[in-house]
Amino acid sequence: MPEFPPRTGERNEWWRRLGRRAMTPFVGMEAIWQDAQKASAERELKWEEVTSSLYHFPEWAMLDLRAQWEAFRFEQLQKPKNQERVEGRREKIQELHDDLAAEEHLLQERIYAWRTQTEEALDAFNDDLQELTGNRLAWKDKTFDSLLSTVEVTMEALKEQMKMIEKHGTHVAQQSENVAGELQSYEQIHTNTGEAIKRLKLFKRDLIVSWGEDVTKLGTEETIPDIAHRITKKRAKLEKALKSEGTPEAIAMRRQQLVAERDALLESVDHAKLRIEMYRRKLNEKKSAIKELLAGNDPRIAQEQRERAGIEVFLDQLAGYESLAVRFETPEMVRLSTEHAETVRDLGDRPLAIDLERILERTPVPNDLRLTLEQSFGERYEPVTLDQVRGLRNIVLGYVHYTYTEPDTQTPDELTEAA
Amino acid sequence: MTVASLIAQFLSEPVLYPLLKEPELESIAKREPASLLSPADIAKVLALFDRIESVLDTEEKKLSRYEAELVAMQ
Repeated sequence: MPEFPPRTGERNEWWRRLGRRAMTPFVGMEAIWQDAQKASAERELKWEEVTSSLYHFPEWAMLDLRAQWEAFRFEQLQKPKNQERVEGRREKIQELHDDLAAEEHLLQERIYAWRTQTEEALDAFNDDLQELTGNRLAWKDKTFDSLLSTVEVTMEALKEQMKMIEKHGTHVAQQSENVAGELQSYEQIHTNTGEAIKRLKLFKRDLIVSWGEDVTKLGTEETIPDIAHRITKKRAKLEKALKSEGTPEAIAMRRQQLVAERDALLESVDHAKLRIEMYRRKLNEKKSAIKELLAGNDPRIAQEQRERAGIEVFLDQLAGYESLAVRFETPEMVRLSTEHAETVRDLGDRPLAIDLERILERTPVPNDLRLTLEQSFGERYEPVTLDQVRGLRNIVLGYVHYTYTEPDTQTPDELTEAA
Repeated sequence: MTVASLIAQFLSEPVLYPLLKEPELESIAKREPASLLSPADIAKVLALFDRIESVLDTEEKKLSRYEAELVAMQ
């Protein structure tokens, strides 16, 4: 492009280009990409351009990918506002991640505290309970509900025990008045069991009161895996929400797409190279085969050479017939020949017939030519005329023309004239 | 594969088609695979092979350039 606006009709075009060049940093790669698309659309119309590459698709794909790549870099890394936005989103994401991690940590701490507290209280209560009943409450399922139900069951068992003790004590009192000591011991057991039930009730109440808040919040059925699952779900939801345009994750995903496209193109280039290699190999194979043929190692070539030599011999013989026939063609020619010949022997004999069958037996001409000659000439035992000789020669030259030379370059008539 | 069928295969390749657009080469390519090419035809075919090889060289250079560009996209 010239430095100054031209005075000719290209002036508007010059200004347009200058404007576009000046706007390029603002418009960005989009304009360049549109130009490239336009150029490619124009180029597609030209056959020579389309056929300028073994695989023309990499050319367009390269153009496309390069433009996308540049646009991506331009958009994501060079626009200050976008950069700020990306930084802001990144900070926000980091904060959300931190919050989630803090929440997870808090939950773990509360779960740990709850479990510790429960186990300590249970141990203390079990010491008392063991003295009375010889049993201990076990926290097998590691849940609040299982512990509570165990407490209930134990309380029911103790109540049953109290009823049996009451019955037994009444029965003993009715049977004998002399067993005051035994009755007293039963009453003592009865009192102890009642106290145990009271303590169990208190334990149950304390359990519910002291852990009620956590239990309500976490849910009575929620175990540690449940809590972990809930946090994982929350984290996944957060990450999904963060995967919007402009975030580092989205940028990374876009980049991954471009990298995948690049890899696909690299693969196609690799395929094209392999295809070229294949063509090279085939060409070399064929070249060496042709060299072998030219060296005479192919029987077909040798056969063809023999047949060509046979055709030449046949044409020579026809020329001999022609030189003799031409002398006797007309009385004028006979007179002229007689004048030029010093003796009659020099004049020679007029051939009486062309022994075509014998000639063809001794001459290795192609089979189809042999058949054509035999069909057209047949057995003739008459003086040879110039027309007969020229007819045979035309057949041979026509065969040579259509078999060994290029078509439509010379007609048989032209060949005859040339001959 | 005969020479004629090899040329026929090259005809399907867009980049090589302009090389084979000449009538005499088309006539060679259209012959039956079993047909025997004359020495003149063979000379033409060998010359054609040289031209095809030069086209393949150009294409290979182009592809290498593409490859370098793609590898540079990091």
